[in-house]
Amino acid sequence: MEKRDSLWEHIAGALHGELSAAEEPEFKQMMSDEGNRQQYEKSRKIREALPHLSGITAESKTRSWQKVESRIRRRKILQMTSFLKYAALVLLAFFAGNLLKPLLVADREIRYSEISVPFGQMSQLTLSDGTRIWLNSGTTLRYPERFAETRRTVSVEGEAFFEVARMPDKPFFIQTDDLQVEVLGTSFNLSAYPADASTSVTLVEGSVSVNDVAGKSIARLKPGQTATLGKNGSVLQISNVNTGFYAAWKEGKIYFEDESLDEIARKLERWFNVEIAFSEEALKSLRFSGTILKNKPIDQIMQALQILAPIRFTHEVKVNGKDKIVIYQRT
Amino acid sequence: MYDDWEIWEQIRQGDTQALKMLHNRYFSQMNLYARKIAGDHYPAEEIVSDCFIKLWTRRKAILIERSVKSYLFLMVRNGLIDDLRKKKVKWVSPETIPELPDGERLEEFDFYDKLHQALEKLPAQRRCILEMAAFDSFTYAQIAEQLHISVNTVKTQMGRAYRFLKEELDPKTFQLFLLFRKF
Repeated sequence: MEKRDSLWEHIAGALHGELSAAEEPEFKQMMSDEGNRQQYEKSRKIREALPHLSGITAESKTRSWQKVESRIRRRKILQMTSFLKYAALVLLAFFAGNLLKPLLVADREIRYSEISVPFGQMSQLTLSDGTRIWLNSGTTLRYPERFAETRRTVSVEGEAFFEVARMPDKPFFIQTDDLQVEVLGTSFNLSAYPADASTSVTLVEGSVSVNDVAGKSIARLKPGQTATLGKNGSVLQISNVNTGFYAAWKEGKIYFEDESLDEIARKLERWFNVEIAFSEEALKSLRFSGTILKNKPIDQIMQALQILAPIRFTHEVKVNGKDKIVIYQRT
Repeated sequence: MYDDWEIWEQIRQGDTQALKMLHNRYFSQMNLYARKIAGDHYPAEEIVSDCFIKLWTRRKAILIERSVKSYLFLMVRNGLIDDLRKKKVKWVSPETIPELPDGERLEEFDFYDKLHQALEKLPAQRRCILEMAAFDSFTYAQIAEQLHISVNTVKTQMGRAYRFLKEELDPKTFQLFLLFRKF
């Protein structure tokens, strides 16, 4: 074990020019073995291929499919627009009138409250048991005014970050359309937007069990793991992720790591509920890294970008509809 | 697992799920290919998405002869050339874009894709360290300073990262890649 670790440390060191004077001869010695030499050759291929992957993210595939899907469905949607307009009006009226107002639902006489967060906003609340929940844009949470004797159950549509209060005799359950999360005392992120193709649960700390809708356990997660379930009943996939991102949105920060201005603009559109356009296509490919605080006004963020890149912007406030921001080349 | 021809037949019959399957199978490879031609900073993703939209809208008229995969790569290449002409970028000239690589060379992008999938499976910190070293050419000392860890930890994590990636990539992938490298 010790010996293998050492071999791989030497291989990585050689590939990155990090062998010390003492390690050089050791590495040469190791390479006289044919098996070791093969491992090195394979690793060298990996080393050469890695830079090509810089900037490739798993999200780009999802994003691309969303674009394709929306375009090929546009014809169908066009026929529905007139209906949708009225549906949106009704929904808005509903949000305005019922935000945080308890809804009377006859479910074994348990009174449920429902909270819906409009697009462009975030919300945070603490339940009666001390559990804290952060709700992302466009999310609806439904929870009982008082929890039952034996279990705590809430339901979510959208994305939420939970810090669940520990109560060993009263397990916490989160219900979504296609799965259930059983919490064993913990903090984690749950994303279940009806429009998205999949539902995912990311565990930051503690432990959770991912169950099917009937409550049968499918998988148990470790911290740093994400479970993703496709909408059309496909299998559950488990992968490791950087949980910093999830903790970040809870704190109202957005991280960018070498992202194009185009990608950043799409995110800003969602967070601030504005429309962003470019005067020239080439500006879209400018790249940035950094952190943005979401509670700052959009103009302040645009000004920061203006300092970093040769751009300027105009901000047109629209009373009915989204504000429009246009990005120009600075001359 | 359906093969490409079966999926293509489903697409022709109007199955959007089949289109999604094909998209998810080849998106990363096509994206990598486009970036290789136009440069890492070129917004190539859109061009790849557009290929699938075109494939869908013209599915009844398109006749694929050689292979579905090489047809998709050809679409990327043509789409990219059109786009480069339109945008008049300075750093690539559409005339100098090489012909579509042959089957064996296309495997190169399959290798990148598999490597990327393996990379995604690395624990967060290990991946972060490897990427700082491989993408941004940070030295071990710089990584240690940035992440507030010891140089020794960086060294151990780097070794484990390479070992993991090597083990994740099956021997077949390597052979194909080696084959490509010989040319």
